Amino acid sequence: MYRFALFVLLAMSALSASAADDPKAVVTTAVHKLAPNAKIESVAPAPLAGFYAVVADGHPVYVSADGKYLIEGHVYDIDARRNLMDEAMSGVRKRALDAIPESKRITFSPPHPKYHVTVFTDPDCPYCREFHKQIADYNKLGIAVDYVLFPLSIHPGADKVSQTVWCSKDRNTAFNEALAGKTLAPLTCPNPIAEITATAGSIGVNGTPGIFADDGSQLGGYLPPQQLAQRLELLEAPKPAH
Amino acid sequence: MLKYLIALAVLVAAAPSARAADPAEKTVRDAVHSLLPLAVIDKTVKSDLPGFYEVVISGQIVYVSADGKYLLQGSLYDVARKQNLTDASLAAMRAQAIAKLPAAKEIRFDVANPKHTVTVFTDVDCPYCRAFHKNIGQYNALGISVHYVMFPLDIHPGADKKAEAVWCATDRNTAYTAAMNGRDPGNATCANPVAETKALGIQLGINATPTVLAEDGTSVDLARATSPHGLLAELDRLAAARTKAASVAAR
Repeated sequence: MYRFALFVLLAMSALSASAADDPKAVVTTAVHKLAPNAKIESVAPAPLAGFYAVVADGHPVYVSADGKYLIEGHVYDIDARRNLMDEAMSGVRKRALDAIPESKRITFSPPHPKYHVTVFTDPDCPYCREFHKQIADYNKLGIAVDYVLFPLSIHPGADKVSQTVWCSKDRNTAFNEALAGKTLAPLTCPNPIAEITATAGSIGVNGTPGIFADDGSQLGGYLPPQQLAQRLELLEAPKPAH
Repeated sequence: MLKYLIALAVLVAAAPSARAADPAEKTVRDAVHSLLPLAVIDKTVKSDLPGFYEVVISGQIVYVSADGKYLLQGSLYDVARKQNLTDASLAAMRAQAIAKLPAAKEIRFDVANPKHTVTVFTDVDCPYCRAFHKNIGQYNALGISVHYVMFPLDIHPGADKKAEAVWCATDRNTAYTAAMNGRDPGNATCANPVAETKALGIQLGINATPTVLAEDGTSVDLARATSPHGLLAELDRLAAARTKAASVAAR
């Protein structure tokens, strides 16, 4: 990717003298000046005029179009009470979530789902258990829940339990039992836990449950069924122009 | 602190025209208060970032667009100079404040002709502060003067009383060393600057102990200075970077 970007840069500067004025190239060069090995995942004009939103190595930054300034942290739209930097991450999160195939998820879905969420979950996390206790209610509200196993290192043994769930013949039943606190006889087999953990790291999931919509926006943290449904409904409503 | 507020109030009253000359500053302050109604704004100045103001809120730096629409929180970098401008502003603010701290409000372990002087915000009950002080003889032997500023943390109940007791001892330096070795400093009371230095620390955004500041206000990364020689090397490195930056700026 980096090599490709560099190639494009070189090609552009060869083609025309004004290539250096291309803001995307200017912005990319600026990021590489500060972080030579950063892998640039996306560059797009930011809602803040005169800036580009860049995602590099899974982290969002803003860079001024002239390449002189870089901002790391948060950018708030004060009137709208929105964290724009967080929104810059949505695209990256969407791609990361899209890259987790169905075969690496444990799905609890109603027959005709209206909504779909991906939930990073840890069998030993209290709020993950609270969430799953109400799985029937989420489903009843039309929400299909795709769990991905993300045992946290602060819960010793949660990785073994996750693996046992994954390696069970009936994963959904084993997941129900584990989240209800039942001790399962340990099983081992090839599993996607390490891969999911890496994905979680690359998109900044730092707690469980981590609930994401398909467009990459983070919805929570634990949310009760009604509230989660409301958040999903809001997400589908047309956004005010800005 | 109160005196500072009064002085500020007087300044504001005396210079209404200076304030009116820059209406953007009011817009910026209003914007901050719309987001954080209780924020105490210490300072607003034009930022290096065109179209933005640098706003200091209780030792934290944020940037607000002159039109009051956007607030940036985090680190602002000057790409060409590879410099974190937010850290630089914070360091400048801290350097100014510690330069003004008189000997009468610190406990100083000085050497003659120091190579470096560090100002250390410290808490008698903080384990890393104790570990840091164990090597005080070696810091001094390496030419480093150490100025302690009392900054008892709320998470250590009673640390403020101990700080006061150390302060009120006849020989503060000996009392400090004894307390850092775990001896109970007793409960002497007297007029002391602990509340004032604590307020100053908060205003400078200091939120942990020990916080070791070099003369230019830079916070020394103690992970890079785990031994007295490590501290010396880190202070040398910071001083060299400072000299280099100054010569670049002069060009």
